[in-house]
Amino acid sequence: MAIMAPSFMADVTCWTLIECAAAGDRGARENFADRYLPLVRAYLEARWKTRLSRPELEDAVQDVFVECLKEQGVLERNRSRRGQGFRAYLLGAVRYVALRAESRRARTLDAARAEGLEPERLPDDEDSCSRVFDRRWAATIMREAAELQRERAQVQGAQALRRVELLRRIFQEGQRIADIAREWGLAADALHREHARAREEFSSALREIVAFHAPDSDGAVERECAELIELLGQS
Amino acid sequence: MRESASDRPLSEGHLDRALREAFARPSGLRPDVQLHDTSLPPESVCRVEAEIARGGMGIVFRARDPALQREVALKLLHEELSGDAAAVERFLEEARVGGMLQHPGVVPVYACGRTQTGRPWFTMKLIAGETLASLLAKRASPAHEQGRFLAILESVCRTIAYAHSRGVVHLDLKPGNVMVGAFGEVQVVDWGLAALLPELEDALGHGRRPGEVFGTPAYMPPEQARGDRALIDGRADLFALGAILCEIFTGSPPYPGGRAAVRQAAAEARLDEARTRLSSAGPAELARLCVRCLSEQPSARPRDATEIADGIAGSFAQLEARARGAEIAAAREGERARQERRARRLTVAFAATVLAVVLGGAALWTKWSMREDARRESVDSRAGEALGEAARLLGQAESSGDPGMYAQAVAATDRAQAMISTGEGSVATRERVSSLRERARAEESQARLEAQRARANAALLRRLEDLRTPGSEDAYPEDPLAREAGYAAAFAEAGLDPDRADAELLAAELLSRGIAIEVASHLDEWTLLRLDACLPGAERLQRLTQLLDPDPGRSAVRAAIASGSLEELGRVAGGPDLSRCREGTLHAFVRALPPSGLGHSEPALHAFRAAHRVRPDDYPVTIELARYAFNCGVEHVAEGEQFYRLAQALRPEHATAFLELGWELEHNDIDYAAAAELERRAVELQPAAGVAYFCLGRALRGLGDLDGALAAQAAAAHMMPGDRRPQKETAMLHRMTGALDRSIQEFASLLAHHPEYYLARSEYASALFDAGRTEEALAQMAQVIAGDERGRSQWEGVEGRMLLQSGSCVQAARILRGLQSDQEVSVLPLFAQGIRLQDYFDLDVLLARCQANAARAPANAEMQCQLAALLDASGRYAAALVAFRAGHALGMAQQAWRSPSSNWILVAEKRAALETRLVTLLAAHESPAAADDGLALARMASRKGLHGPAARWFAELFEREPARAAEPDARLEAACAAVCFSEQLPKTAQESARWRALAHSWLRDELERRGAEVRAGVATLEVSCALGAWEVARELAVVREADGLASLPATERAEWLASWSCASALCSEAQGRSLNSTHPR
Repeated sequence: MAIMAPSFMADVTCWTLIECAAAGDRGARENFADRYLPLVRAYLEARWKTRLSRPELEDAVQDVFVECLKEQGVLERNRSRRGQGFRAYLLGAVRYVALRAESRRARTLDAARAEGLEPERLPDDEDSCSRVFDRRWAATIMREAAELQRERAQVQGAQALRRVELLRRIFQEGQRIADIAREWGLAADALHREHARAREEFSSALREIVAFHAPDSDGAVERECAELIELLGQS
Repeated sequence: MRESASDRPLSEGHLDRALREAFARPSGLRPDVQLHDTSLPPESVCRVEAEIARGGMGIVFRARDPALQREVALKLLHEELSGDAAAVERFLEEARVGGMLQHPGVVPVYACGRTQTGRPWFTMKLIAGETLASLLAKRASPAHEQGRFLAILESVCRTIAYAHSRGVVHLDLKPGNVMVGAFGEVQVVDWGLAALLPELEDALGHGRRPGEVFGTPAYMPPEQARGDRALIDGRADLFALGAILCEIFTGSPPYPGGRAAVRQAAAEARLDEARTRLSSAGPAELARLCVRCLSEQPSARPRDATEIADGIAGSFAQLEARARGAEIAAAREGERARQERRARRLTVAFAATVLAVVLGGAALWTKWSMREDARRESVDSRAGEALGEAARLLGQAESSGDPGMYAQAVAATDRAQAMISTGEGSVATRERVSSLRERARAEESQARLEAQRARANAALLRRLEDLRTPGSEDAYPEDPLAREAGYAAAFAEAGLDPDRADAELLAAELLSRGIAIEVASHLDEWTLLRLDACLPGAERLQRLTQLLDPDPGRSAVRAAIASGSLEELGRVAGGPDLSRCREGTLHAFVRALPPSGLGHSEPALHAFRAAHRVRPDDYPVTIELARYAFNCGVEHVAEGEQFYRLAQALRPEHATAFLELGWELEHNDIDYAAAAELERRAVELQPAAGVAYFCLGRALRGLGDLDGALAAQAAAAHMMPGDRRPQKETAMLHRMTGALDRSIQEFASLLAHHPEYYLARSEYASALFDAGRTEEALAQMAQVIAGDERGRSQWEGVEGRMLLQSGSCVQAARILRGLQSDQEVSVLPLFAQGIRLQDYFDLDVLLARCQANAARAPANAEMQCQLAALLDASGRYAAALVAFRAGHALGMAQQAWRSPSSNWILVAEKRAALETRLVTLLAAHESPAAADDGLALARMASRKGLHGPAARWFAELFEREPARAAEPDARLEAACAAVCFSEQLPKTAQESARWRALAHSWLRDELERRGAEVRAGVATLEVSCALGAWEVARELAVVREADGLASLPATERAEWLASWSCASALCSEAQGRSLNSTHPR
């Protein structure tokens, strides 16, 4: 997933991105699609499972973006709801399009099992789909934060990159700091300090990503971070 | 970044969780199993004495069988491989093959088993001798003792011919795997790579790690070197026999060079150099036989191993003769040389005699010279022994690929080198030592590299395999981002980057690793993931796949997958190409098929089936096919069930197939008992699966076990606290048990938390309606209709019924008649109430729909009764009786069956009998007799559209028995018959007016009677329903609607209008009174 450069992030919010995309800015549109399309797709796949063809799914995914960006679309109608954050807005757009697609399908299909989309018939229901979306959202935010940290480290140099690698080894490989220190020929104490610094850098990147998506949340960035992390535990 | 002072930083725990997700990789990696046990077979089986050899698979010990007091060889799988199912299977296969083949040329296997810790072992005959490789290495030149070696090879051929006759292929024939005993007995050993012929291709895949190139490259046929398992059969052994023959004749196997070069040469079938060597070596006919064995095409090789053996035997005599001649010539030459030496010695001696004073030392020189010859021969002999040992070790190393074994071979060559380091030893010996030492070192280095690469290959393929089935049997799409990251990580760990590396270089690397085709199969799934999830890089992967696997058949399948075109997918499904595909490609193929229910299910299902035939034991494909079939409609339900059952057999420990089939059988009203059994099984397998309890509850509801259903839903609610469905089911069950208050309470609680749960809200409305709270019920339905656009038709049907049952007939008619023609409506309650269904529905359309549903749901009692009701309303009484009986039988099997189906049967039987009477009367142009049920016959005639007879019979009956006119709807039906009959007569005819007038008088009489009832407050709901029916009766439209009235004479028109006004007012009054007196229905 493409991540905007830190300098760009300092100047824009997600709403700005959408405004630009709605205005036809190609770069903004591509960025918007890169960032959020997988989320939208994940929600729709969870909702419809294999009961929809790929072309239909693609159409629906595109519909979400059209809906987000068109005049008098969801964006316009939800200006007042921006304080609730971008996640809610996007989820609302996705659900709206999904319901519309299901209605259209139910009316036009002449198949014995058109009611296959009846939510009661699916092992999952709307709550589960929303949870999929939310969980995916949270996971995406975390990964974006890691990606942002890595991009910054590339600018800052080898030490910073090493801190990123340290986090990867700890949280992906499950290695202990003592073992890594031994492998790298460093004192464990020094590596612990590097670890602490790496965590701070990640935390900073996370706040920035969250703020990007909830610019109107009026400072409750930490709370939003905590809520997102709580979502990670749900499935 | 805006932060408030009150914001608290993230806790360490939170941050840890965030970091885990941020750096997460997909789950499913299997930890390496490390076993550190050193267990051996019990001493009762054998006592281990010493280690003899060690290879890639296991260790061979010399052991003693205490029972038979004989020495045996014990082969034990390496402890670190005990957890590797593939390795264990291959090890046991070797034992099975050894046990199966009873031939002097095969080492017999005595016993096999597992240690207490599960390590497999087997015992076999202990062989003393040397390998053919060692013997070949020791000979002075290829021409030396050719006869002997050909005899050995002939014996090997006969053994292989026997093995092939028993359906066993060796697949690793080479001099190192041929033992020659002290008495010349020849045995083929190391059947570790052997496979059984009938299921060769499966066996080559089963029990082996994907991508493993097995065998020894120097003796490997091209198809084996390329890993093209579809082409490998017994003729691979024939190639190897030819390679050994080549080595006997020319001193080297067919492919020259180091290990990597040899493998490459084998894959490319570079045999020209070998053919050149053979052209000048050995007897011509054997050379030709050898060339045939070494054909690239298996079909060009000899027919079988016996042909090779016979060819060798046939040339043997000639060879013997030539060898004999050579020996005689050599003997003569030796004698001549001895004579010359003797002559020289005599000359020297004579000269010494003459020059004894001057050349006194000449005799001493001769003596020294002879001593030097003896010393050289001794060094040659010892060095030769060391070389033989080195050759044996090298042979073992080549079969195992173990770098440690190569190191031992190198050490042996070093020892040989040490022996000749003083400059002693013949030139030929020194050259042999040098050559073998160089080769051993090169191969050791190569083996280390290859071992490292093999580990990397195995790790990569294992990671990719885990992504395919990441810890769950569920074949639903997984988190695409996580899978995408997993693929990238899997390749990255193997040092590969498909997204950044040059595709051709990367393909070359994977080809050299020998895992090209397996990786290509995984790439198919990754490609489809990227296409589905609109992730970048699908084209790059496709290009790489094409380079890795240019097979035209599989390429065609891939092109069809990428196109997503059902036509293309169907085309490849109908051809042979799909059968050449590996697992990953097949999974991508089925996922590319369009979902069912879009009007083209049959072609897609056909393609799906074709994919399943390729891998009938593939669980994901099987279960997806089952789901697909069910989604295709009623005609494929049996097929869907069949594949679910197969999936259950494939993975009896997984709950999904049981759970889903149970769901389908219940939800489609096919078999509730089977559904309950399946859900119980799902619960056993997955006790924490709340959804299984939920499904079980529904199945028990279908069986009428309401208590059991309530208990199951309670369990489901406990396990799925966020899921609203168990609570909805519980509320419905309370309604079914008659506990309406509890049902209403439960629904209200549910809807407080889930206000948009329209399905539940409609059920809530029904519960309210049952409790006599009609206005509330209708209000709830209004909410449902307003909120759920998608299900509008369905909800309007419910609302219409309620309105109808509460007497709002006009409103109900407007709604019900406005429903889409394919809408299902439950008419049974209306039928039970005696409502004229033809006034509200298009009976033909509804009947057709109901017939289809009843066929699809043979276990649904209510559906059968509904069908019967529609048949009755349509005047098809015999068929209605059959359906009522079927519905009654099904219903009586349920505990909670409350419908008066037995009464319906009685009525239906009566009507069926009456129909016969009707036919008789009509044929005789007679009216019903006094003994007949005239009213029923008149009604029946009317429903059958026989309005003339019906009207007359009504009139005669009312004349004869006036009291019968007061029966429910009697006057209405009589009026309808009369009006319809009047319409059949010319409008200007007096008869037409007379029948209309008669109809009017009947309706006025009925109005009078109903008015008295309303004023007395009696049966107000029934009155409102009855009078409401007048306003919607289709037959009366001509005297009720504006169009029809306009054609009537003015006086008559005014009279009709007055009567309608009166009926409408009376109906409203009756309805108002009925709504005010709520009572449960």
